[in-house]
Parts: sequence; C-alpha cells; structure tokens
Amino acid sequence: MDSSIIHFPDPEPRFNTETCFHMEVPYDAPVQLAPDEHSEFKWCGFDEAHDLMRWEGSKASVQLLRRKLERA
Amino acid sequence: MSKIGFDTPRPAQLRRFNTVFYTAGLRMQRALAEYVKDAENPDQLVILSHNPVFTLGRNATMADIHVSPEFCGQNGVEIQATDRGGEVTYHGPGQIVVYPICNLAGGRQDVGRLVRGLEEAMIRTAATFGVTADRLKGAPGIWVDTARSRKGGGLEKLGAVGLHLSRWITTHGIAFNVAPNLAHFGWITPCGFTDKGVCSLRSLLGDTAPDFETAADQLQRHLCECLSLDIQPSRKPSQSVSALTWRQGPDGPEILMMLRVPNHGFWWQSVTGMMEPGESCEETAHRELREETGLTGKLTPLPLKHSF
Repeated sequence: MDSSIIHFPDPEPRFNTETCFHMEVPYDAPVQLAPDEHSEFKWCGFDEAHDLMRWEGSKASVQLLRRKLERA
Repeated sequence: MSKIGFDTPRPAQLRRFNTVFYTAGLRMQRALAEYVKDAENPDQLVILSHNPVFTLGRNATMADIHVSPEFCGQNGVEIQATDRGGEVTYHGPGQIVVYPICNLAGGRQDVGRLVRGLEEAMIRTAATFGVTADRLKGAPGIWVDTARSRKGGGLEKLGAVGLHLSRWITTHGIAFNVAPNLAHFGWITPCGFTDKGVCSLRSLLGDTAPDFETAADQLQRHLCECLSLDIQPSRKPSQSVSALTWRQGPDGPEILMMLRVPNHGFWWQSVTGMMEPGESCEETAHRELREETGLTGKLTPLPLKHSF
C-alpha cells in the first residue's frame, strides 16, 4: 500500500525512500489485476503515461525510461 | 554584531536523504513544520539534494530567468515558485540543501541569530576544506573572494540562505555548493546579483574537493554546533520499489498504467510496492509485478532513488 494514504496513530511524520526500476514484459502477456488494489489498466505512450502519473518521482521515471529507450 | 546561532541545547531530529524532488521537499517541510508547532516535539534538521530546479522567492519575477520555460524543460530544469524570502536561485545535484525546521518560540525569537548561525556553519565547513569564506553586508549567505586566487575573479557565493518564518516556525534554509552544475546559475540572475558570481568547492578546489557525503558530514556537524542541536533518535524512512512496466508496441514502447481503487487513492500508477523485511529491491519488484499484474519480466535499474 502506498505510504501517502496510510494514517498512523502517532504524529511524527513518515517518509519513504523509493528505488526505481523498469521492467519489460512480453507484448501479448495477459494482465491480471489484483481487484483490491486496482480497478482498471491501460497501455499508454510516454506522453500519456507522464500526464497520468500523480507524483513527481513517477513522472521522472517515465522521462528517464523514455530517454534510455530513445538512446538505445 | 549580535550573537551567532544559539547557545542553549535544543532537542532535534536529523533526517538525511539523497535526492528529494523539490515539490516533495515542500510537502516534507509542511509536515515537519506542523509537527514542530507542538513545542514538546524536537526541531528538525533535514539534509538532502534536489533535482535541477529554479526556485522563485517572494521578490523574484520570471525576468530573473533568462531562458524560456521550454528551454528549462528540455534541459531537465523545473521552475517553482516558493514562499521563502529572496529572489531566484538554483538547486540541483551536487548541492547540499538543509532545511532547519525550528520552533523559535519560547526563548529563541531571533531570526538574525539563526541566519548567522547557518552562515557560520557554512563558513566553518568551507574552512574545513581550506576555503576562506565570509559574510557580506546586505547579502545573506557566504562569499568567497576569488580575485585573490585567479585573474578576473571577484565575489562569488558559495552558500545561500533563504528562510520563511511563520509564527516563529522556520522553513526553507540553506544551499551549500559542493559540485553542482554552475552553468545553470548562468541562466538566471542568482539572488538578484548581476555583479557577483557563484562558486562551489569543486570550482575552487578542483579534484581535491570533497565528495558530497564528506561535505554533508561536516556541514551537519557544524550546524549542530552552531545551533546547539541535541540530536535525538528518529524513525527511519520506509523503503519502496517502483517498476515502470512496459512492452514494445507496434508504434513504440507502451507503459502499463493501473488505476488504484478509490480507498487506495484513486490515481493512476505503474507497478509499485513496499519492501518486506528481508527482501531485496529486485525481489520486491518481481513480487509486486506478479501480485499486481500476474506478469513476469526483465528487470533493469533506473538511475533514480528518491525520498518523499
């Protein structure tokens, strides 16, 4: 679960450190969502994925992957 | 000159991060400022570095940035307005940013002493590495006169100060240049000065300059001395992993985006999850991919580890 939506009993703020990867998966592999976590999915180009991401770190990951794949 | 820094020890918690995106840093500061409102809670000393960003203080205008927002975007530099004092400045990798989130109520209601304490810590840090820096009347921060060491030199800023004060609680803080990309300062009028430059330990010392962590250790030590901070234990950050999941489509790469259910936030994301005890980052990424999508894939690191 994402730490940003957890409410803790004590007032000391909580922070999180995230390590970022990317994963290539086969084109025709079927996606099976965990229904308690996600309700729908879609495959997007870089621009749409960047716009849909909520957090700055996630947007930066998209940009990093884009630059990496465009250089390859 | 009145007193420098504070003498009476005050409990504080140290929070040291690597990269923090600027907007995430603003959220961190808001949360910690709320926390220190309760005088029973310790002050906070947050040490980190930011992604490349121009920040506009309350006295800045877009005219202080000499390149277009599009140019900044193409070169990976964000632009953010802030509520700190001062004009425009730059933050980026290689620069130590420190946010002292302090509650000055109850005997320390003197922002001047805090500012001079912050400057003193930076002056002592510079001296640790053989660099003579000093204050300059009317220009907060610490300055090095590079005319002494090279032709064409002059007053150059090594460390900046920009605080925000609300009900005696401080936010924002200082930026100390170890080895940032100084060319980025050339795209702005840093801190409103057109007749002064910007330097770094790297520009002054070349290959003998300390690395970021060594300089940060020294700055932390001197800040604790100059502000009389008595460091208490603090909760370590939790650890998570993101795995941007993609496939090669007919028209190019396609990113898998998933919509979180409403009671988990109702926003779009790719694969992400918290590390469990004993797991490596790679194991977490594979487990989360399997649990959230049923997929398996080839995992590759991205050059990004950040805190929020």
